[in-house]
Amino acid sequence: MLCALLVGMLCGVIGVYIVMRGMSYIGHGLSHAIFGGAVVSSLMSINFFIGASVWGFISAVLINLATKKKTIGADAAIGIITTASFALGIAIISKFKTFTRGFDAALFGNVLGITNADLIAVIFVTLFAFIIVLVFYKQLLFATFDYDVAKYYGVPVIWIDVIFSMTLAATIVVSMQVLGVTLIAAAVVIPAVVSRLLTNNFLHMLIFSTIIGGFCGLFGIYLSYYLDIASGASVVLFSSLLFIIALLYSTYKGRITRTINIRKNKFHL
Amino acid sequence: MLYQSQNSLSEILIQFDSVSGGYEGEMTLNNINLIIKKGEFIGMLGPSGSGKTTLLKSVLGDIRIYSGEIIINGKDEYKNELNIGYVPQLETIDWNFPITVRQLIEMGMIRTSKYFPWIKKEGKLAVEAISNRLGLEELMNRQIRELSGGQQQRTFLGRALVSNPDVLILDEPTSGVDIRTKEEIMAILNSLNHQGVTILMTTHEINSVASQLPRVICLKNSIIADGSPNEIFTEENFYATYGATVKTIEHDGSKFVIEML
Ligand SMILES: Nc1ncnc2c1ncn2[C@@H]1O[C@H](COP(=O)(O)OP(=O)(O)OP(=O)(O)O)[C@@H](O)[C@H]1O
Ligand SMILES: [Mg+2]
Repeated sequence: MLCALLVGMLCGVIGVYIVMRGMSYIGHGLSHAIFGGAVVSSLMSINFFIGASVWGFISAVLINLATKKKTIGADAAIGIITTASFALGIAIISKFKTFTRGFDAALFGNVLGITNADLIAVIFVTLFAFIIVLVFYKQLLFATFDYDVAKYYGVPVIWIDVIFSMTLAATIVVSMQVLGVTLIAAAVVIPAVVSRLLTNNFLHMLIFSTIIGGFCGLFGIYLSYYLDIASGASVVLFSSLLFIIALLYSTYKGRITRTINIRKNKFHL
Repeated sequence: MLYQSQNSLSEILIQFDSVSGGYEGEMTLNNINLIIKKGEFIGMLGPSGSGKTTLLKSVLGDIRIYSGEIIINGKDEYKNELNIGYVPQLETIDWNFPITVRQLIEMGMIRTSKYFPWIKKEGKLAVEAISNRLGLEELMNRQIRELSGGQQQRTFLGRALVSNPDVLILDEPTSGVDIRTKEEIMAILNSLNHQGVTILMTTHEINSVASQLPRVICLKNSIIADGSPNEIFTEENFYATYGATVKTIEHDGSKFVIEML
């Protein structure tokens, strides 16, 4: 339960930066790439967290670079490399059957398979991510809002990118067991999008997204126990439900404020 | 000319020495020679794609230089220690970003207030002072999309000004605003200039903005003309810059340009 809560909060807070940078697909690509890394490192009997994190960090930096270049084919290259990495992982598993973790769990998430080591890793990464977001709040905000101008105002954008890529890779690695490779991206993106619908203030968005992410994690896991479905799936389904509610709410609210504005204008006339 | 620079212009702040540069092999800036002194107020004219934004960014060290050098305050542009305030062309802004006027202006303090989300007391006072000066105090909690064009320009100007810059670089600060707001923005810039801030700005407005400045540069990848409007507002210069035929007239000691279609 604690694990689900933390993973949800972690994905929520990281998701804000992912969504606002317009890199929503990065979570998807990265989780697939990391899956390959995880399997390879287990084959080479390297520690799962270290192997997957290093692999993930390198992929995150590469994807980031490819996005900045803006050359045609960059997104295709990302797609090919990350999917190839994923395919490599699957190939190795089906050949050697050495992956210590359940195949289904890796793909769709299984909160029951969580070990103490997993939990410690989640706690550690959550703390790390929150410290980074707190300490580098201004730099991250500026670089996310306007990368070039942030540079002109003296923000060391390259370092900020590196630190962020590291945090992102670590987030995906520790979330994999709970959420599953295929569903992490949604868990990262949805809380941020929901909170974007609810507020126009970046700090509020960050706070809402953390709370919503944590809530979805907790409640989603509860549902998965109760209904006996894959934990990743139930977290994502539950947060999608929240998304629909938020969408309806914001359209409704938009309509109300518009009516009020029209009334005000009439009053002025 | 309406806006007059200070008299004692001696100290060289920015110097372009036969600079050629651009993006990935393209020669956007071609053999630029330019000296900007402390306290100057300079406008830059030129057609779309002539390299105005590129020239501004080269001062900020963000453009690849193929030959020549840019010296800023005695150092090369990558080691620049001047406090430069930059106002980007508003077309480049992501208006959907959930950020308020206050949060945007606070961004400008990043050099002095680096870590953690909160800012110091002096910082808060500075933000308050600048927003009052720019008439933004009522709008501090608005999201940036919910502003008029003039208010948006003033917000981004606020971000550039909040850290008391020595140099202000503005990319089309008067685009998308009405005549009165334009006048207000230009009056603010003029008074800053009189407090000693060096200003370099681009504009598309020849008569209402450029003709009022003490010094104007016409750019079309290279510098076509550089001087006071009275010296450089000639039919030949405008033809060389824009490829358009214009007529110049004089009124009240200022030169203006009439488009001939
Ligand atoms: N980031 C970039 N990468 C590659 N080429 C660019 C980039 N930015 C601008 N260019 C090119 O450099 C040239 C000069 O562009 P620049 O933005 O400096 O023009 P400008 O004078 O500011 O035009 P405008 O009045 O429309 O703002 C153009 O041909 C443009 O296509
Ligand atoms: Mg431009």
